[in-house]
Amino acid sequence: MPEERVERFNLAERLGHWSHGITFVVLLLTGSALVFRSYAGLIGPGGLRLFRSIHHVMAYPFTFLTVIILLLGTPRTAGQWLKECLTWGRDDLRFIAAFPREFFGLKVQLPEQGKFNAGEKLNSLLTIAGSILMVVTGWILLLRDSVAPALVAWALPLHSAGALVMGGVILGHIYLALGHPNSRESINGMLSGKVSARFAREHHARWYRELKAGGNQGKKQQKIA
Amino acid sequence: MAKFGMLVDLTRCIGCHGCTVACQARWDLLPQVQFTKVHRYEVGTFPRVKGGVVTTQCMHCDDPPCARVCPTGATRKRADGIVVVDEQECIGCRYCQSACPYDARGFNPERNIVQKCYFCYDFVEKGEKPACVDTCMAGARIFGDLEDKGSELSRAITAKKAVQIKGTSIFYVPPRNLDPSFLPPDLKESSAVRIWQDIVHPGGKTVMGLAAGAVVAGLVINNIKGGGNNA
Repeated sequence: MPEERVERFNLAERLGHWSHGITFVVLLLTGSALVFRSYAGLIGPGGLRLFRSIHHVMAYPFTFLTVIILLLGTPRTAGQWLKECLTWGRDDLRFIAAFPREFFGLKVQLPEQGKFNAGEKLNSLLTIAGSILMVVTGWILLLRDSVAPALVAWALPLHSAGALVMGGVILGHIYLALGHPNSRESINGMLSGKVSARFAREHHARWYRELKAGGNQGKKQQKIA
Repeated sequence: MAKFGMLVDLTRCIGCHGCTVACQARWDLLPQVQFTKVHRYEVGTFPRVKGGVVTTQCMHCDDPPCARVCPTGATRKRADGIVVVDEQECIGCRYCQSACPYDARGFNPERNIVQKCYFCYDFVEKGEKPACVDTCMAGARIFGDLEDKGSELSRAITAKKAVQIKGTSIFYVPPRNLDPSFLPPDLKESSAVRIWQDIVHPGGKTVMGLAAGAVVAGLVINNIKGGGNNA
């Protein structure tokens, strides 16, 4: 029996997510060879030169593509997403405090969440801030011959730091999307756009209620949080 | 084992740029890549001004920051003290160029590699002198073994009261009117390099490692418990 499904992400949101995700992973894989020496040794100088070319080409879609897709494709929901990410209530803090137990599969009661739970909001904020950092420092390095040497000297450690922290964040993100038994239903929201009604009810109760109560009055979603 | 070094007698240097050009010719360098450079300076105010020249090059540091940041090991310090770049291994990331406190490295955009003064190591191994020393018409440059107390270099350092740029293999005989601030400073690794190599890299790897460990632990625990239960 087919279970009821509700739409969580439209096509532009999904494309925006994947254009960012794929370019980020390629950039991480090609860039981190310069931090992990044994990885660099494995790839060899020829491979690293190829990695550099890929890394530099990927800078363009990483910088522009997702922003273009979201701005042209779905400016309204992108705005709602940003607004929700910046709105934090007591339930969000309680969620963050309780979430480590959930992460490791231990019993815990999580507070009711909206369309984005507090962890997803935190992930969004880290991604936005981290991407801005990587884009700014990355372009400084690409245009190093036209900027002050001191700027280049400090862009290098910042670019490394941003990459490694965001690398840690994406590991947790992938685990929660694919590996974690309670949350892995969420990957369907980024593939087909729809999640099961049960998942929406149990993980995003406030959003699910708005969705049911609001029906086609999408405006109500903005009132969340 | 030898420890190679160089003395530049600025009281003899006439600023002819012969060293720059002879070096470029020997190493077949692009015009914009200069392993050794000649800088002019002026002190005083008109009409009481004096001028002179200071040459700069790779200082072949004792603990070179360029080698520390090189991700492939292409830049390394040899046992004889010469800092080299293995041009086959260099991937042109230019980390070294930013880490060098002496701006002694040049980027070759045609070959996408970073190059610098090699103390003409392959000629030195054959007993020849570096190109800049060979060509210097004023005899301002002396190359040799710092560990050999009888070498021409060691004797000249003592006789001429040369100043060592601390932490490097380069000595200068400064002219009497020269403010020491015109000489290259003693070796000091920049704080950007220190923070990058000592804090960011180990710290960042730890963050990624902890995240990976947490994911593995989560997978293991969830597997043992047989999937979600508190949805």
